[in-house]
Amino acid sequence: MTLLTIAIPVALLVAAGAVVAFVWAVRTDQFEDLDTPQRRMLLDDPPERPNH
Amino acid sequence: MTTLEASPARADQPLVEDATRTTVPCAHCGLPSPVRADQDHSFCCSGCEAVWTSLHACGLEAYYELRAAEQEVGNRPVERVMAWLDHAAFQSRHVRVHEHGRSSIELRLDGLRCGACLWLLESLPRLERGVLRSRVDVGRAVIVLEWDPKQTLLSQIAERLARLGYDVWPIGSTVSIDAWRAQDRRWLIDLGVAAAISANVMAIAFALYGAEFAWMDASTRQFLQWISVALAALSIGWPGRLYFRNAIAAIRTRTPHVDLPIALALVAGFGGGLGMTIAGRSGVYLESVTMLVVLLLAGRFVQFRQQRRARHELELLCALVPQSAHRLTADGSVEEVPADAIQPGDLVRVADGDASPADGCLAQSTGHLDLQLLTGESRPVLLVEGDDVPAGTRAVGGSLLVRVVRIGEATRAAGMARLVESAMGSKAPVIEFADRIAGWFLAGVIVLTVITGAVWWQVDPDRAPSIVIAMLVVTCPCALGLATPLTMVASLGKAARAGILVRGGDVMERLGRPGTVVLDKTGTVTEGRAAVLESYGDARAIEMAAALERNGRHPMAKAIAQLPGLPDAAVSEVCEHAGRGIEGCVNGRSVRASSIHAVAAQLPQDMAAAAERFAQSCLTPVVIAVDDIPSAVVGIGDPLRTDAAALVASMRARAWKVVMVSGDVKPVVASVAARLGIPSEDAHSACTPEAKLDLVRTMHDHPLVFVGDGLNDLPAMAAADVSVAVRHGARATVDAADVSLAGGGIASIATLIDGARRTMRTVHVNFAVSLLYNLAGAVLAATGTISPLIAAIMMPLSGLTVTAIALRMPRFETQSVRAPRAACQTTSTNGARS
Repeated sequence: MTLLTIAIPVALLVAAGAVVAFVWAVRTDQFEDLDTPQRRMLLDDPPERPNH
Repeated sequence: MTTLEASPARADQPLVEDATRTTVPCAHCGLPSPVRADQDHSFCCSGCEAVWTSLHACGLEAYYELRAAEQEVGNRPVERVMAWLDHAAFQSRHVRVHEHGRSSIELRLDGLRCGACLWLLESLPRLERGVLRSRVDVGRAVIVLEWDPKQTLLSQIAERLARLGYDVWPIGSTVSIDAWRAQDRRWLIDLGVAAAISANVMAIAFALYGAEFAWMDASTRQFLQWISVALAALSIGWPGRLYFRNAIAAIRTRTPHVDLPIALALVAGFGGGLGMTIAGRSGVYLESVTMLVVLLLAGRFVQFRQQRRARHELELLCALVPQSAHRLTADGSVEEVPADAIQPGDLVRVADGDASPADGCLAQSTGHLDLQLLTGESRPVLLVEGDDVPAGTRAVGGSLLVRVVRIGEATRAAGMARLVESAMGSKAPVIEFADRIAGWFLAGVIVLTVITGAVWWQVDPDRAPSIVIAMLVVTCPCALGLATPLTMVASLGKAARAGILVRGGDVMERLGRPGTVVLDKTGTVTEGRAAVLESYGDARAIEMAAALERNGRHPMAKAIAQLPGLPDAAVSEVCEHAGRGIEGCVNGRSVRASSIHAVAAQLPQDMAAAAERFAQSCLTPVVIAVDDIPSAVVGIGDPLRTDAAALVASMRARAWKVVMVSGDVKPVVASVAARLGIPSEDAHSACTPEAKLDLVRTMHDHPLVFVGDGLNDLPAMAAADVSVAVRHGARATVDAADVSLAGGGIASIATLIDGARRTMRTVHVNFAVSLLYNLAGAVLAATGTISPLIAAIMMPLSGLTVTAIALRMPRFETQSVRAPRAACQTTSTNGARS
């Protein structure tokens, strides 16, 4: 029992952390566009051209 | 008399056999290429030939049918000036200014197709100096540009994009973009928080179920229950506040609302859990309360997303009126200004093929105008000085001088956008079956549990708690919550594979029973273009006319130019007379194609009769004269889609009423209706967009499906229960419609309706199964037959059953679409052999 009184609030804190991370992700538009990143990751970065 | 094929000169048909130096379109890319006597198909290069051959070898020749809309070989203006993008009035509305003097804008992109486009567009900073960042959103077809105004101008970037083949135009003001995005974020956060709480409450609930048959001391149980209570309070207080707000509003205005029973059930469920916990008893129902919040929020969120999308497309409608204008200054020169800067009384020049930026009147003697976008009228209209030129209509066959009368919000196009908006707003939303039933279900379960608990308390107080728990577990509404969304998702996916893109599950609910289907004429049951449908007289004269008309710009000229032309023709001295015809020299002989009115007096008897016959079947006769002798007559009209009659017949067979509306004149509409077998009282002609809307509003045979293609159909489509946009329709129409037909013809509407009926049947079966399951479970639990452990095993089983039923649902049948295509293939292979 004493173990649970510590473990459950800790678990809830971890969950709260996940919620905070989620809210942050929404606020920074991580969920705004779900179609493009999956294509973008397939494109290689072009080599940097000098003088540009 | 010969009846010519309605389709344009097909690339895979050689135009002549004897010539070797003429050019025909390349069978793959459409560029001019030499005719090869030894082969049926011609190619501009070996690369195109290789692609063509391998596509055919793999049986993928449907590619050539599918891409027809996208191909625009050679008619894209390469240079255009977009100075209006730099105007202060435009920039203050659409451009964001960041620190360090950078600017950014969101622009809608046209021409975005694949990963290569994405790569090219995101490489823009390497192409154009001063562009700092370029991000593309493929799903919404939007590009976000960030640039340094000191190094480059927005107009230069847009011109660069146009040269690459992408048109851009602004989407809404920064204020409206921000407002919608903020609302979207609030929804997502609510949903995420509700889901997180629900998962945690569920985890604790499982521990509490376990407490019933394993030992758990009372203080631990009490502790877990208090945590559940706290989390549930958070859930209904934060993400669930929406239901209470709506319920309170419903009580205040004394109007019933679905949120009222939901809010009551949430309060009852939470109050019950709280009461049990305070009393120190076991048996809380909070995991279902929190889960209900999540499931219902998810449904609302999907609805909100649809609204946001519709709104986005509405702004596109406004974007169809050009954002720039060519204004004539006092000294006679032309300057390009943003549309916001013109004033009533100004003189503007509308170039051939461009749309008018404002409502105005014609300030030159005559001119041709294409009103199709506003009225659906298929033929260009001849205007005389002083006639109306509404914003958004296009000049045809020459530029027009227009005196501006009304601008901006006062134009007819802006009025139409408002109509669409109000029609969308007034449409009663479908209250999803799950929404209607959820609150009552929860309330019923609680009542049943209380009664069962009370009875067992009297009979056998020791067993009462475990029976109550088993009851609550086995009646968990998981299956009920899953039934609709799962079936809908499975069905939307299957529809998409049949080439029918359906925006949301509510379409299926609306299409569940027979009603009325309203078809637009121009562009929906017809192809929406001019083509030579019949001809009479000397075939050689028609070939000469076709060669001559390649130089014409009038839509009638384009129809004749699509016919096989005389090979190796030397055309010279071409002269186009507005409203009368075209003349010129073909191979040294004078050829003239003119309207019947210009030459009626000189026509021989047989040709006059042919012309009369064409006119009676609502075709426009054009007389072709060689060396001033009338030699042939062709009838030009708008060809019917090949599957239009099949659609009408199959809708009738399904007990649907078929109605046709059109902005076109009565004889044309009547003739099309007669050919389709639609009774004349159901064929409405000369309908303005407003009249179409009124017609839809006054019809009673619901559900009402409106099938259209043009912007003039938009208000009616918004008011209809389900709107369907045909392939190749105006972009804003396709995007705003509930359903768009991506592949196949309009006959696939019948496929959609059959599919919707089957989908709804599956939804109802699923509901019945999960309700029966819950009822049977409740009976077993109430009689004390099952323990909480068995109940906990049964709970996910019901979800699995529902999933299996949803996925097993029959596919969308595509036979009705495939049949005519298979017939076409047979004839074309026969043709190739002979």
